[in-house]
Amino acid sequence: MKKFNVAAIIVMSMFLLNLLLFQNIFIFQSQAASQKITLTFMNWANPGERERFIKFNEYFMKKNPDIQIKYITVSSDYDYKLLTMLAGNSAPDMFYVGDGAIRKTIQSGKLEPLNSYFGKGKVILKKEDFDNVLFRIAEYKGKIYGIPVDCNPMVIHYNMSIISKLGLESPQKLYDTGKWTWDEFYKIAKKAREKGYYGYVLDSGWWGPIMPWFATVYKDGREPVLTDLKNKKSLLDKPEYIEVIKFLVKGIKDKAFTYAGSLPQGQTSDGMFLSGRLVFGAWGRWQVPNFKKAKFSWDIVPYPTKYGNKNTKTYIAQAVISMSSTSKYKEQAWRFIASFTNQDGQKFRLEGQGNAVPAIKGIDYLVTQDKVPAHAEYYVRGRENGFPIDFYIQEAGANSAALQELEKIFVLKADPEQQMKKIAGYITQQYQKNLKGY
Amino acid sequence: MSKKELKENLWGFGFIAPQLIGFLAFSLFPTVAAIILSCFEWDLVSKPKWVGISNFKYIFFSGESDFPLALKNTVLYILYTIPAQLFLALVFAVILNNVGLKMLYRAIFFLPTITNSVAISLVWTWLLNGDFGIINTLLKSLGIEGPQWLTDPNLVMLSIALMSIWWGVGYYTTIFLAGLQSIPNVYYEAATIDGANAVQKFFKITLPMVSPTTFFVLIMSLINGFQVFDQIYIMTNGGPAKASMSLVFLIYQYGFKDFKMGWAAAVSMVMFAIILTITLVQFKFSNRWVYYER
Repeated sequence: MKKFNVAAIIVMSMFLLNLLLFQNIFIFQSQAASQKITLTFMNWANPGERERFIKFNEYFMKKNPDIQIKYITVSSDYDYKLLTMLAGNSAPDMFYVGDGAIRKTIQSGKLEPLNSYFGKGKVILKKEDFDNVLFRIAEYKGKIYGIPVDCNPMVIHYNMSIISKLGLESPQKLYDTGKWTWDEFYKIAKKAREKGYYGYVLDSGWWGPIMPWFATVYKDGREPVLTDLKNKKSLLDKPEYIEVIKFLVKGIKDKAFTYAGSLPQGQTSDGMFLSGRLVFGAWGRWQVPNFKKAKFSWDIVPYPTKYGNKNTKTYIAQAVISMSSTSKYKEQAWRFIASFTNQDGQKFRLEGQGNAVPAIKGIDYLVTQDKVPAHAEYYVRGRENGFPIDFYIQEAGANSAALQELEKIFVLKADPEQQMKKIAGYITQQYQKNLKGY
Repeated sequence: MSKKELKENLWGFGFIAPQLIGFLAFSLFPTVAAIILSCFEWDLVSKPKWVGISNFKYIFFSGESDFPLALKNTVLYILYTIPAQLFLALVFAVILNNVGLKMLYRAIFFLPTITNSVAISLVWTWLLNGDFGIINTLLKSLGIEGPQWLTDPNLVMLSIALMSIWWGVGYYTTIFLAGLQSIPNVYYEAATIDGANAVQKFFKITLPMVSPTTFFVLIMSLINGFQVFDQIYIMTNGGPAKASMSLVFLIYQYGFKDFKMGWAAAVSMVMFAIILTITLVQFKFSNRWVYYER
């Protein structure tokens, strides 16, 4: 009986502790106590980028001797780590947020609105310095929750050596003459596959690879709209988007295209491109440092379109830098954010590095002065004529499930029309349930 | 309680305190937290919201949840792995029990078990690669077109099971070996005198006498089977198109990708209930086929 009482007390204590935690009664905070103000900055970075960020932090601290930067790099599961920190009130003062997680992060209520900081403080930053399109993902109910750090418009990268070897016409020439169409793209990919190469790999796991294709169906170059916000309805089942999916399915069926989700784990499209086995891939400028090592000639071109028009928009992959609403040193945090994203800061980070397009106006020469690839201006043109991710799907919590259902079309050969209608129906359901305040 | 008894008890608690604190903090506390969380809706960022049994209703009855698919994949995996592992482990143990250089062979069989699961999974991902893998290359040299082991939805679970069998058989072989070596020789001697051949000895003596070990191996391999995750995460990430999504992978998906902590906890609870039920059923019926030497 006595032993049972002891055990019961221990288990009950566990229950009580858990319930108290769930009521957020315990709040953990840590503060660095020093003469200098210590700000924590967190982002993701590969080893090369990390070195560049460390140098920037040193440069900033030199210019701002009253601030010490504590830098955290997260190599994987960044979104989860950030959300956990936000939930535990232990978020860094400044941190990156990707476009795949920005809406969820805004919904946490732990991001500082930045509208009132523009044009003020020791480092002046203005909203007009940027392309307006880059603020769309971080703007919610009139408040801006993040400043674009840089951006990466998606373009088609192609292996010119393979195309020449096969005696086919260069995509650039086709583009110049208004003949860069779905059919021509398909023909090149199919021919390459017949000769033992991979034609085109459609990447999986996020909306980035699919979204630019939705834009290519429009002759007038309009932006694809996937959400009817007024009626809280998904528009993924529109005939033109189904037509896009059918085009991709046909390519996969004929083996001209390959869906990355059906490749073995670890076999990535950029690895295949770099090893000279893939003709077409779709990426942003983040691959340039990698592809510079290629032993073949390559270049970039906008996505092929249904009609060969040259005014098509493309998707811009991007991240913003945000401030925690619980930061104790908001003026200093803003100073860092402004220094990080103004012309000086972006120039410092992107000069010679070549892994993104500046988000701020006036320094596009950093992209075009780099002669690799030969038509680097398409990266900049993508920012000027681009669109962000459809963040409503994310906001409604439908992202993951919708992507998994989409995968069934390419891997399990589900009927494209039926499946797209199913996906649209599911997303609409989630919109009705979860999209609030519109 | 006398002073002496109290002092003794305190010393006792002191010695087990490290283990006890670890158990409370890292086993009991999270378990209780998961039970409570399964009745909440929580996405890490907003406040947890009490929803009662809605999470359980969602995973069983909504028609949207991947729980039925994950359960089916996990059961398939168990059906592929356990009979094969049990059979092979027993056969290897019997062979190893009767050969020279026992230590060397035991070490060779046990090597995969002590190798890190991530390393093994990475290697097998490339062995089973449909285009460049060694297995398909060998098959090609024999004029056989190898399948897409890890990218064919109909084959992926079998491929992962094959890898798991190879990985785990050494461990169970070692356990069976210990069980075989505990069988008193007198039974075999008596059987020899009575004219029993090797097959009869195996079925009439070895199998019944090793049944407690078989029972233990069956329970452990069932529990491990339900918890399959490492191989799936590394080799296929649950794909293609969720064809290799197991229950634990679903928990990971719900918790770490979809930020649906309530769903993840609910699936954990259901999985716990399934494993507990199967284990209790096994214990209940064990007296029909497990013989303990008295």
